[in-house]
Amino acid sequence: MRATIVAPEASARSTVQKRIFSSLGHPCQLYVAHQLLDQEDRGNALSPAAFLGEDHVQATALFLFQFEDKAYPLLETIRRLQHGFVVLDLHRATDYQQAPVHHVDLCIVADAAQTRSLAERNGLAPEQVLVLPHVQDCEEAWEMFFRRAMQGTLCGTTKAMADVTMMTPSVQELGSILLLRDSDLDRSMILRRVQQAILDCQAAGGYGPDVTTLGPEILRPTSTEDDRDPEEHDSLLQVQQTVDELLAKSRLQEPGFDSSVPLLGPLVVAVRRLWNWISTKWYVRGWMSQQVAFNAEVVSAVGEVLWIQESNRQRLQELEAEIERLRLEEGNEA
Amino acid sequence: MRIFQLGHGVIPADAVATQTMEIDRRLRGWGFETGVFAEHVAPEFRKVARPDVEFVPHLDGESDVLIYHYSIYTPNVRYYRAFRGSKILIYHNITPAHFFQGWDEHQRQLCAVGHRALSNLRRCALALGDSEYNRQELVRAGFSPERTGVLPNFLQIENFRNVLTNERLAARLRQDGVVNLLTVGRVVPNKAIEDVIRIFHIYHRYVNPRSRLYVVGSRYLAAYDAAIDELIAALDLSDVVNVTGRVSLSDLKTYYEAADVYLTASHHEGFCVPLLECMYFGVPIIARKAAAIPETLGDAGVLFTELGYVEVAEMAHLLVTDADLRRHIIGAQSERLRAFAPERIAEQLWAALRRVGIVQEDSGSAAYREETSETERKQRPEV
Repeated sequence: MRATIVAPEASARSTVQKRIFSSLGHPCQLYVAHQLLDQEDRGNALSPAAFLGEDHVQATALFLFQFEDKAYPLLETIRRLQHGFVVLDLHRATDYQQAPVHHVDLCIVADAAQTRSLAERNGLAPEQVLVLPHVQDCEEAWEMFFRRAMQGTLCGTTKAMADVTMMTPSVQELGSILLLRDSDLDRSMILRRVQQAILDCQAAGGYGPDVTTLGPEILRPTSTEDDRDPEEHDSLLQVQQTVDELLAKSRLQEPGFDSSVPLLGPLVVAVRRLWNWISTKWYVRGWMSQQVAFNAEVVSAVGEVLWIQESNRQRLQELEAEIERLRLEEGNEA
Repeated sequence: MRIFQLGHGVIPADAVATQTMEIDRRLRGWGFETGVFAEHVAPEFRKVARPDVEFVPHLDGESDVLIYHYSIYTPNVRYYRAFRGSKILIYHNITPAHFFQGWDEHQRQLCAVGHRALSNLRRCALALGDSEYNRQELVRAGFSPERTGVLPNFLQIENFRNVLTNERLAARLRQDGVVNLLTVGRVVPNKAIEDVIRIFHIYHRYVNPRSRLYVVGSRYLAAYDAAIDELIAALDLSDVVNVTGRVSLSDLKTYYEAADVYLTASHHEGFCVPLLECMYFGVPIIARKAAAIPETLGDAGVLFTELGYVEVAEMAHLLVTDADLRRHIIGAQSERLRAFAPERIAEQLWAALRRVGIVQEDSGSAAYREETSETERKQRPEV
């Protein structure tokens, strides 16, 4: 069975996706809209009509279209496809207005927030959306998805995620889910037994609804990216740096003695050093260590205050932004 | 020469605190004068650890050594920087901040800044990770590879040996011959407790209704706790899933002894001490292939990847019902535990001290053996 990937431009993502498809033994062609990649890959010289007329495209069982906020000519062919299982990869999309989400069998997103957004703004049902990590982060998850998507007869059918995930996994698939690394174990026998158990359960009615769709929304699979502004970290690090500088200054330094006067100078220096050693060792150093300890405690306390202040400032900014958003919403509703 | 340890907290049931106290015990056993300081010291540890501010008078001790345990951002990181003696950093890993996003803003910030600040801690004689996974993170943060190493966590078997099983709890856990699935650790988002519950839901509902799940670990993120409770209720598992909160060592031992399968879906672990505890108690492990978990587990146990709730549930059942497979997995885990035998870790600690010139002899020396033999007799696991 053949697979086709259509992307607005060449990217590591589409390259990895193509590699995974190919590694599963399915001929895969990558079409990019803005750049000719290599001899195997076809660029935007191809019109939508020519694309649809390609032998490879006509024999394709699984289409994977990538969407990144803007439509592009080859994307429009989704509406004209009469065959194949069509998937829209929305991982890098933030605005779905131009995304042909209602003309595909399945949308792939990176987190639950995207799923919610698609449901609220585009009216997509949860079973039309599949959450998968970024392909560069977890190739195994994508490999599993591709395997399952390519199983059975996909041509001309609309398969929801639940159907895809509930298909009985092959022993090979099981081997990529359950990793038995002990070489003394008969892995294939164990995996076959797990497979048989799954078959038996499915024959008896299956495992019920997709368990990830149950329970509170907030616990549904989410992105693993930290989407916070890096400047926020920098401002806290700045606080840390300021406190470090204060701490360095908080330690008292004994002044040094020196003289450039010949003969007499070194003698005076030696006497003063001796006297200084005697006086500080037994008298001043005790005071100094008390002062150093006190200074360090003060710096520590100041550091805490600065830290809390900076954290609160950031939190305040977030809350102000939230208030502004709510005001706007209220205004729109009115 | 004095060897001080400084870190974020010395609190009960905490892997970093346990490691700190065990290192302290070993160092004292080897004849060093020691001191333990932390930002947070739990009341029960006040006799053995002091608040970090009391470390300040030692900052100028040029002939002293500081072992700094880094697991989250703490203001006492500046004491580490200011310390004038020889410094060893032990990196226990910091949970990626995004796991706390939407759950606990303060914790998220501490983790985020902690990660960013790691590269500022490079001025040290030696930086150790408690796993190779953590060591590599140190290298990525800019630490010189030749000044890094690995010092795994000590498993304190002695603590478990010194407490009795809670017989009443044991009787309750074993009543009716139900299968007990267990997960141990703080109830926090990076541990993906929701995935453990989902897998158990499939196991209980479609594979073996005579089963229960015990989630043993402290709870302190109110929002996450509430979401977990809501999930348990939504899946109608309130009668068979027990989220215990923090338990005593005696109860923890009892849970391990009564467990049929240990399950963790954690996304992020710098080491994962409960895996060693399972190896010790003979509980077969199924764990998510994430962070340092595959390294700690070695070739033992069973790992799983994404999208496999059903498969993991069926695998758990196979581990419960197939006596031969179960015996083999437990045997391989016991074998793996030998790699973490206290005498080996002690040797690695000694080697670390040798690398930075604190001791001269190797671990085959009489000095090392004499001081170590007594403690080893008490510590050696029966595997």
